Amino acid sequence: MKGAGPVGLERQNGLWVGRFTAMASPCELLVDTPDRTLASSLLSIAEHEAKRIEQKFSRYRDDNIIFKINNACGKSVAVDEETALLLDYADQCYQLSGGRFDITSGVLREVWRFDASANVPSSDAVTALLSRVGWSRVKWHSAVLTMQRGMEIDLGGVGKEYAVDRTALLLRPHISSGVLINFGGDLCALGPRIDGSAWEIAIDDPENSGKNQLGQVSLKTGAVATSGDARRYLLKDGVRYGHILDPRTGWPIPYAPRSVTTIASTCMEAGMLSTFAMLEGAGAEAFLKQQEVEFLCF
Amino acid sequence: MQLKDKKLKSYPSKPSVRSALIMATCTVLSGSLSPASAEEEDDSTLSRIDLSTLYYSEEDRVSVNTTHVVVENDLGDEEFVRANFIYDTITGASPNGRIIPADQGSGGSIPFTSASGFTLNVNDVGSAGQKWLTEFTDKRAAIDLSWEKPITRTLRRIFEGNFSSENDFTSYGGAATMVWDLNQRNTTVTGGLSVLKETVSPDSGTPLELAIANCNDTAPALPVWANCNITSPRFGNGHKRVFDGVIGVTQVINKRTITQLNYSHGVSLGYLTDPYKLISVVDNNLDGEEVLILYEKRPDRRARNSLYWKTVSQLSPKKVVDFSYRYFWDDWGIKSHTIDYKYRYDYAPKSYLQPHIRYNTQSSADFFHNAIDAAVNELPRYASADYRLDKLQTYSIGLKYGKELGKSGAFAMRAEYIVQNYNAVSLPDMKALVYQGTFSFKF
Amino acid sequence: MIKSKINIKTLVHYSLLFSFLLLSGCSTLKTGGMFAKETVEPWHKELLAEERMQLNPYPLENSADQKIYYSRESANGGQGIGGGGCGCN
Repeated sequence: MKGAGPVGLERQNGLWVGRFTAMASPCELLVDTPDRTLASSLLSIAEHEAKRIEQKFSRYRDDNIIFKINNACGKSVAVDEETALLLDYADQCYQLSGGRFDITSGVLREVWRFDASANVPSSDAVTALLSRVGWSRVKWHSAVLTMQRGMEIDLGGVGKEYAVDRTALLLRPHISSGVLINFGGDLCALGPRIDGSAWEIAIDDPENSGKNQLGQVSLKTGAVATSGDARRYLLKDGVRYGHILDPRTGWPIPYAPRSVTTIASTCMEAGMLSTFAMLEGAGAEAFLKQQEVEFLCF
Repeated sequence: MQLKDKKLKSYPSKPSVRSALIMATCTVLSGSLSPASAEEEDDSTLSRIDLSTLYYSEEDRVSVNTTHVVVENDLGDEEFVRANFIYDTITGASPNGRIIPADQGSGGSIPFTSASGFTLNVNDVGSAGQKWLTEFTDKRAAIDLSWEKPITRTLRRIFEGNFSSENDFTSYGGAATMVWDLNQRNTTVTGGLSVLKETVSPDSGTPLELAIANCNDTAPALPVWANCNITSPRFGNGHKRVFDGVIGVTQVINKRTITQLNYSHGVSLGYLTDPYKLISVVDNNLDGEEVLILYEKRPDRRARNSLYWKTVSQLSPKKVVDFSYRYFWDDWGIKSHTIDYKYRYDYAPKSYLQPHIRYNTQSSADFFHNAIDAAVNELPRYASADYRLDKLQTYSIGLKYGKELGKSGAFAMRAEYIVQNYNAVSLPDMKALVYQGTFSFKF
Repeated sequence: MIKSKINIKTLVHYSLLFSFLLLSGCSTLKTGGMFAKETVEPWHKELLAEERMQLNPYPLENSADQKIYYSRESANGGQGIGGGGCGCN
């Protein structure tokens, strides 16, 4: 993968393929056009937007709104309109999931390190952290957020999907069809290829990346998102602890699938459906069937 | 195990989760389209400056240079203030209403003496002895300030004040507009009122309407009613008031099309005559020779109406059409149709070309006369030979090139070619070229 | 100064005729066309939000045109109200 250097644009299999790295993921833009100038300007729009969102919402930076919120030490923080929309969205997802999707749950990483070891934290250590977790403890009146010291929010659970959808919105005025956006496995197809055929998307096996395919998806328009990372778990006394934590208990969701891939009209919708399914644990497949959504679950 | 002891709340009525999620997602994505949030900065306020320079040039007639600057400041919460500054310099010759002799070469040889003796001397001929033209130069400075503020979530008001000054003309006024969004902002109703107070102040005062400006000393006979021995009185400034009202509906038709229909009604009251316009009195027994020149006279009231329909539609991501039609009628007897068509083609993501065509046709005013017959016993109540009140057609064709410069700048230039032809007045077709460059920058 | 062999009147007439055919053609396309009414939800307005889709997207050019034609034709207005007057000979 290319680093932060100049944007790369290559001709591959009759497509212009542009690559860059953003949000700690390899990002790709596939443009079905012979027009290199067009592909190049679309790529710069996509890269600019992905990096803008990363810069604005990454929790690894000290110059953005997330840092400001997480270091406000109990003071109220007024946020801009875009951040407010995302926080409203996170709030709705918290309600919809009965409190299981929670952007304040990142604090639990202080004791849970999913490095395939047997380092399962003590029950006391987990319980101690729970006082710093819970969206219901946060005062959010759209545009002003007040959070107690020690709590943190993390929009990582929606950021990449949001970047894909935003990029799709920005590209649509310039091209009506024949674009596939892929930001680290979260995808959006802006219409079929020029000849009318669907995009063929292989779902990678995370445990055997690049060698094994778990399945294939044909997509003309719409979005695909995957939740789950099978390499991140703990194994102790024969019990496997997956990395999806229940913010209400501080403990991993039992029997969660290794990976859930969902197809929906937007990447944010697909991503959140996948996340909700993971949070259902053993009930993931049943949940997805109930939602009448196309999915692949492993 | 601890995990199983906890009672896990189940999702509220399952099938609704997806639809609720779709709604929530759409809210984020549609909301994020507003320009404020698309900016890199958290700061949602935005200022904008627009600059324009324009050169307008008519063949053998008037040329105008215009500089126009607009500064807009976004105060947040959908509140804006805007300031327009315009500066024009105008030079050239304008048709004054006198007839053009069939043999134009001899037009300058008829000796006229000034009956008025005022500084507005109709013997000040246009280029090459063309007496039907009056040479002039002028400068105009105008300022226009407006303030837009929401009253409720769906109601906005816009207040505007304007002032404009020329050597011999001043205009000041105000306008108030209410804009009401309905039907999820798919329908917008607009209502507005404006008032202008205008003063025309020629150096030599305004002439008595239909008074004699000059007599032809060589004419064998003058009309019985013409007394060339008295000097026409002149008055102070001419004042008029202009009231306008508009009511309009804008409708979103579909994702790619928006249409607007406006009805406007206006009334102008006061001195509506043009103090520089003349009308010839011709003797048909002398092959239509000009024997007298009168100052023109227009009614002191004019009621205007117009219906205006505009549609903007995106035919494809690269093609946008902008079409408008206006029907105008007034109580001076003028009826006019105007069609304007622009077609914007974005041949690259940040560059476009836009051809433009416009067509206008109007009938003449009831009191328009190319000249007055010397044989009449009584002068008409109103009379003007201003070519703009004649039946005429205007054809325009233009091309514009536009380019976005990065995220916050834009540049455009255009050229237009305009031809106007007349029915009764024997002026040659007016041909004009317009060049305009515009630059805008957001910061 | 301006010498033109092209007859601008014919050009404008034919272009207008052509654009009318284009507009009427667009409104009868099987996809629904320009004037096909559909409910537009707030999140479907990304196209309408573009600057080029506004009713007055180029205000400086529009105001210049309004003034040019105000000073050369008898009909004026229609688009809205406001703006100052001029002597405009």
